[in-house]
Amino acid sequence: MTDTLVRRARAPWKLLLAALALLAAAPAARAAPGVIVSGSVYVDYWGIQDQTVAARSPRGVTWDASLKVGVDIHDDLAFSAKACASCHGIELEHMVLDYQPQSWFNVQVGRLLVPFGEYPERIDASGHKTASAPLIYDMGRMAYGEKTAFNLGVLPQPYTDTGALVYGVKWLGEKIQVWYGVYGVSGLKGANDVDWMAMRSVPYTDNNNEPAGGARMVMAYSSDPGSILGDAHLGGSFTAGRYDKAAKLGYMLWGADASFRVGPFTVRGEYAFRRTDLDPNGKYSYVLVDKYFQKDGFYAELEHPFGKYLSFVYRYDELRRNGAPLPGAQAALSTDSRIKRYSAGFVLTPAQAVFMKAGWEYWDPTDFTKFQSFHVGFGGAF
Amino acid sequence: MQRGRWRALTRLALCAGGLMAGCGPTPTVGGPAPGGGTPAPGTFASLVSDVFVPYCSSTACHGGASPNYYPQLDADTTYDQIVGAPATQASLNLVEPNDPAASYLVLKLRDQQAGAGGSGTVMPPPYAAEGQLDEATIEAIEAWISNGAPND
Repeated sequence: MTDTLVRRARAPWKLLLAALALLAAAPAARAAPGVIVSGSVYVDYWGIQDQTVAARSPRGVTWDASLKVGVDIHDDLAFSAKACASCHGIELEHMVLDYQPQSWFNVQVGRLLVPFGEYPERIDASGHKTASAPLIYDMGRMAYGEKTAFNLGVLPQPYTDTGALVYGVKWLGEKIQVWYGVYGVSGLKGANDVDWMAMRSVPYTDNNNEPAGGARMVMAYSSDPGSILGDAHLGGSFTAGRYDKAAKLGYMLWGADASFRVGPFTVRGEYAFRRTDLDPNGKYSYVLVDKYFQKDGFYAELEHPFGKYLSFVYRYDELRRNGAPLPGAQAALSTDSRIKRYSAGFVLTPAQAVFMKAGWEYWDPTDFTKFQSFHVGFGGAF
Repeated sequence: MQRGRWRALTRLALCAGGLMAGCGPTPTVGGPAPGGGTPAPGTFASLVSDVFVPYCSSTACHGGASPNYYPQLDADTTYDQIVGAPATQASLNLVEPNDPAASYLVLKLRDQQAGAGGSGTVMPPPYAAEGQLDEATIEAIEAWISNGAPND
């Protein structure tokens, strides 16, 4: 047992070495033709005045760094890998071979960034204006996100999994592009509800013999330059599978997302929903009638520039949990629990690829203490 | 062609709206189960919700049926898995009622397992995402053991 423990404890170090090798190779790779290197670094401070809330929340300083290397092997084949460093050390967001023979038919295999929702496409700190992630997609930096409370949101992003993705692009005329993708992956893991720590722990293999599947489709409209009505998109995502070792407990997620621009204002929103089967043999604090629970939520955002260097962003988001709390859950968690959050902030870009973010948030949960907080962060991208 | 394209876009938009509306019913939950309610501080139930579930019961470690590591520390299995149950790393029980010093669980939490002929790393391990237990929490576990390790 001890040897096994030690061997498995060493396994994350192998992954760390692989990620460090990627970091070390990047500068040399950048000089080579057919190689694209990009990355970002962001440091954020989350301040919570209420000490009772602060003591149980992941407040304080955190950092996010990423390094992505893309290599064109030949006309139809590329390699891409992205290492991310944040709260739980260095991880690989993706590492894939990308076969691209036709615009309408491409295949990615490896450790994928599973396409669900629009937010993952802007997940780097330099890609979005808010100082925090939407509640539905937060990965470990939300209040009341403990396993015995909300157990995070609907689908912490980025959702990285092992499998294959078939995707393509089709144009409808000159202005509307449709992106579509279908995939098979190992799927989410857990015992009674999804275990997010197990999702990012080695081994990165399926915990049952049933792969999960899913799909995403996006329609994007490209506007004419100078048009008041700007670019817009509409997307839908779906994935389902079984998450326990015995492959008896299922989950199903779907989401919708949209954005559009009117003059200088950009409006975007996303909705995500997850239904998760509960272990009928668990000891719940409520009598189990329907043997599943639901988690859903949405965010709506408005952003606009103010001058050459400043942008403002406003967001409202909600996260809801309906169903019996899990065994061992905090007594405060009810069968119909919600968190509403109001956010406002700005991004200052004093020079190219360098930015500062600041934001204020007011958290309004039904079952826990209300509080307000602030973020201040600095970062850059290349 | 133009009309057909807009018809397709309209259908797609309506489908998206239909999906939004068709979320499905929220699950029905019965009344409080017998023995439910807020666990009192210092009870085993409070240790389950404050310690064992958040710190130990990930399926990457001690959680789920056939967990990666012994013992299984889920909410409804922990008591039977630790009280009077033998450790695999030393000739001690994981929890010896009334005797925290002879409980292998306490030795692992305090990183004192080697002195008892045990092995392995401190629990929770240093690389655990939830961090390690503070002194007050370990003392609460010791107090519960000293009181006979009741299943309360």
